[in-house]
Amino acid sequence: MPQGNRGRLGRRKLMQISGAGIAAGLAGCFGGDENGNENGNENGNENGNGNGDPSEGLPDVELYGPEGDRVSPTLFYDEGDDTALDIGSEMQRNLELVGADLQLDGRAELLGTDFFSEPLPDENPDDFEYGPVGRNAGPPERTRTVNDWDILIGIAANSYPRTPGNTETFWTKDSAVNAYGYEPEVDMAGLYDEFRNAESQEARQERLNEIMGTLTDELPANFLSQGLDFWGFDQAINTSDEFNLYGNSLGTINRYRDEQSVGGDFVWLDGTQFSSAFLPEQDDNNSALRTGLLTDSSYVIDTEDNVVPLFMDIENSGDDQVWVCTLRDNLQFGTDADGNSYGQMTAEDWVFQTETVHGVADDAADFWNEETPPSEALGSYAAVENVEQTGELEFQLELAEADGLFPLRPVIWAETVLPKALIEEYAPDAQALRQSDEVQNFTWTGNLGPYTFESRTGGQTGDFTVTRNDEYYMREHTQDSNVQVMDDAWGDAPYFENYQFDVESEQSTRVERFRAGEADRMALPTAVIQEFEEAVDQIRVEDQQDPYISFQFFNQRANGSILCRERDGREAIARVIDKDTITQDIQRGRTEPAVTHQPTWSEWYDESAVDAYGTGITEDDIVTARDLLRDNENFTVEEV
Amino acid sequence: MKWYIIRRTLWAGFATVIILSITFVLMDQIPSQQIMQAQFQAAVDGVDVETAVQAEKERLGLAKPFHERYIEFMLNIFQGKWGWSYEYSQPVREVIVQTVPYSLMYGFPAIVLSTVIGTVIGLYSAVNQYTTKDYVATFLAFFGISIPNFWFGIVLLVIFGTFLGWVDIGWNAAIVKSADGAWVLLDTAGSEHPAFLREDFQGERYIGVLSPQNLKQLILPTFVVMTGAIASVMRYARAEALEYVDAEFVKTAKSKGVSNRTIVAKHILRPASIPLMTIMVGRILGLILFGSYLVEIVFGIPGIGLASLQAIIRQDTDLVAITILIPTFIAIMGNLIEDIMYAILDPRIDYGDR
Repeated sequence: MPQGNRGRLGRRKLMQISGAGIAAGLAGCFGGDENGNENGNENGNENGNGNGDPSEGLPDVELYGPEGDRVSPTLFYDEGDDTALDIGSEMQRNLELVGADLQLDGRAELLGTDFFSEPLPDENPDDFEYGPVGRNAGPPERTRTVNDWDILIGIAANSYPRTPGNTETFWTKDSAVNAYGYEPEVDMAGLYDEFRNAESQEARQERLNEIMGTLTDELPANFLSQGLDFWGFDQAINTSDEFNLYGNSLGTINRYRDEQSVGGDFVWLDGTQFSSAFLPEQDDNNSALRTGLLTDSSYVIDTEDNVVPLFMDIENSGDDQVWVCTLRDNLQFGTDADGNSYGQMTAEDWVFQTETVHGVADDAADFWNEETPPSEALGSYAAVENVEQTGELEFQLELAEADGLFPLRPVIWAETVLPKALIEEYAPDAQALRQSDEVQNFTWTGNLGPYTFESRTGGQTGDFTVTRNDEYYMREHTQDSNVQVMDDAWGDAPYFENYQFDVESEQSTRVERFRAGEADRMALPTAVIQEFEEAVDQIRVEDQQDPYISFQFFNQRANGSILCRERDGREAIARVIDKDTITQDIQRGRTEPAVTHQPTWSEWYDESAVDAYGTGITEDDIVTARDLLRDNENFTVEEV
Repeated sequence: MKWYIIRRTLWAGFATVIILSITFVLMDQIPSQQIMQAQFQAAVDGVDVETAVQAEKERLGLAKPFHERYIEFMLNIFQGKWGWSYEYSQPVREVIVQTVPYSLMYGFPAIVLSTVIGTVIGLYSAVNQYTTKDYVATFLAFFGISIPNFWFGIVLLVIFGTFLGWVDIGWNAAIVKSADGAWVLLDTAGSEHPAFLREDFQGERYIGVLSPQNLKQLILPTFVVMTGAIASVMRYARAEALEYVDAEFVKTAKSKGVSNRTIVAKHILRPASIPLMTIMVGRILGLILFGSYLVEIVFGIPGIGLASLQAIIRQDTDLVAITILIPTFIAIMGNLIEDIMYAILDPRIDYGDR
């Protein structure tokens, strides 16, 4: 179903630049005036945000390190994000409360070399206990960040609110993304293992509480904000109530103009272009959103974490290790470039693709003329030990380890499949397969999607247009089905005759076009959300929960400031960084303070398990922060 | 003359090879974001990083050694095999064929108009040298070149698109094509045509390059590009014309009672037009190079300028090479044609002994 692929790809994506999130609605935002009044303003009033200075009665201080030098950490921020400099300046003011002299440095690509580490010049990496892997060069005391930063803001990380076990990669010492050099004092990997292997939901929650508690105690990063994406819709376009919740995946089926009847066109104004037609390697949401209109996927997950079967249902065989997939019985592939039909989709197509393209078969690489199979999901499918066809429409996946949450993991969830005959036609030449007419023009999609491919114009001002598929398979499953009967709304789905992604890369032009009523949907940049909410009558603004948490990373490697390498220093920072001002004033109430690596709306979040910092800051918080530093032998706090 | 043309043509080929080689080396030396991303993702997924990087290189056509890729690249270019654009997910030839016409649509009229108007203003200034009219004309011409094109474009869009609603802000790329994607000069189509998405009407409307809707959307970008180009033509025309304003034959014509208009048209413009003509030919041949990045971004025109910019940003090597090769080659050939036209238009010029 449309957006299904996007959901899966989004789930696979670990990190993004917060500013990049702005392109699709700023990561870490929360909506409307109503919410703002309920949360932000109330907090603001309580803590005197804008109504008083909690440090007013305290003397000014200066902080000195063990060598007697003034503590002057450097903060890297994303210069492409229009609020980042203001946030940096606010942090500069906040850290003056503990006497630190923060220096600001705008950077072009935070996730580039800035987020890399390397061995110290006199160290031999072969002697390291771990690393180098990814951005992590090895043990923090023997390595340094490539560029000299102490604090880094502008990177948001996926919180995986459905499967928080996936967040392990951020918090283990030998993780590939651990550029910041965090070495937990507890066995974090063990806690995550226990979480995954727990036999009950309560046991899982307990382990996760321990993890969350450790993170807010040791503070490898300060959890700054969580939030929402903001979308503008033409007033005549409906959106379901579930649209606002995280995980809404069936948006297109629930969308129509005025009355729920077939007719009219839908235009989605977008800033990013289509770039990948070969689905097994597709790793960008921009392309997935478009191809999701042409072919549904295995299944999607609804907002309550239930499986919604599209091509198939997936069931636990009973031991959490073998999962049985059953295909719907009327899935028809399209044709090759010469018009010859690929026939019905069967379990054979799935098994073949899983084995040879996603690399589950041991000799998968031998099948291709390249060193690895052409798949972006080889890592995800490493969890699958074996795949076996057990009927014409049934196959089963055997996992390497039992996993009760397997359907929620981005492995076969939202997976699509190419006809076996199409792959065989071009194999072993992977490049020929990628560039084939069938793949590039989507001749193979048949009745698999609500729309069929019409045309595309490439580039940053191009478009991608599809037309309603009269043969859409799901319409036959509203009365009777071999998998699951769907509600009546699917009987006429989809409801638009044409659906177009219209690419307009220049943001100001895009906004002007949307304001002029030239499209039905657009992701709203932060700067115009309020205007569209209040002053553009024909547009309705909808928010949607976003799983990304914006971090303030601390460099705990050898070249990091002592303030960041010491746990007390990090807590002192967390206590005085004013998340209320950052989220409510600078980000104009479009973000909400985060507490830990799970958003506060996540079912896994437990308020009692965490220490919350940075909201409703009082004089006591500042005094406590100063005391923490005074009591630490590495620091000297001098009143001035 | 014949040997001169042969030598210049050979030089054009040599210069093209040099430029393509430099382009290839530079593109090869820039770290690939896609490979870095693949490396990172592999490390996160616990997959062998080297294998993942190799896979990404193969996908991007970067797996072979440098010299093999270079030789293959050069041979392919000169055999007309222009490769694959990973950014557009299309053959490069297809990208060029699709994008160049969009740039020509606004670039060609902008060049012609700026050359004609610039010449007229230049002549007018020359015959009215150091008068108020000269200063006004010069001011207007330089006003155009002084305003940044992208800013001027946005301002015009806001005024004529948002406030007055006279033009659409978005670019309708489908209006110039038939329903099956072929370019058309002028035709009609119903509301089911891709150009009329979200529009509900009875009967048929015009589509095609010469359709009223397309001509309307061409006005602003053409005007923006034209205003930026007038000043150089105007100053050149003024300088050329001034050479003849006080020439003996012009004085003779004046003394014989020839009207001012005839003097300007026949006695000043004619000799002055020789260098101006060569400039115009050179500029028209450079049109593809002229695909203005910023104008195309602001107006959303899917032209060659935007394709080139995007290719450079995304390190789409084959597309970068071709979008550099074409204007380079054309510019070199344009200069050659310019020189030849000098010889044809002015018998005093001869390349015979060079």
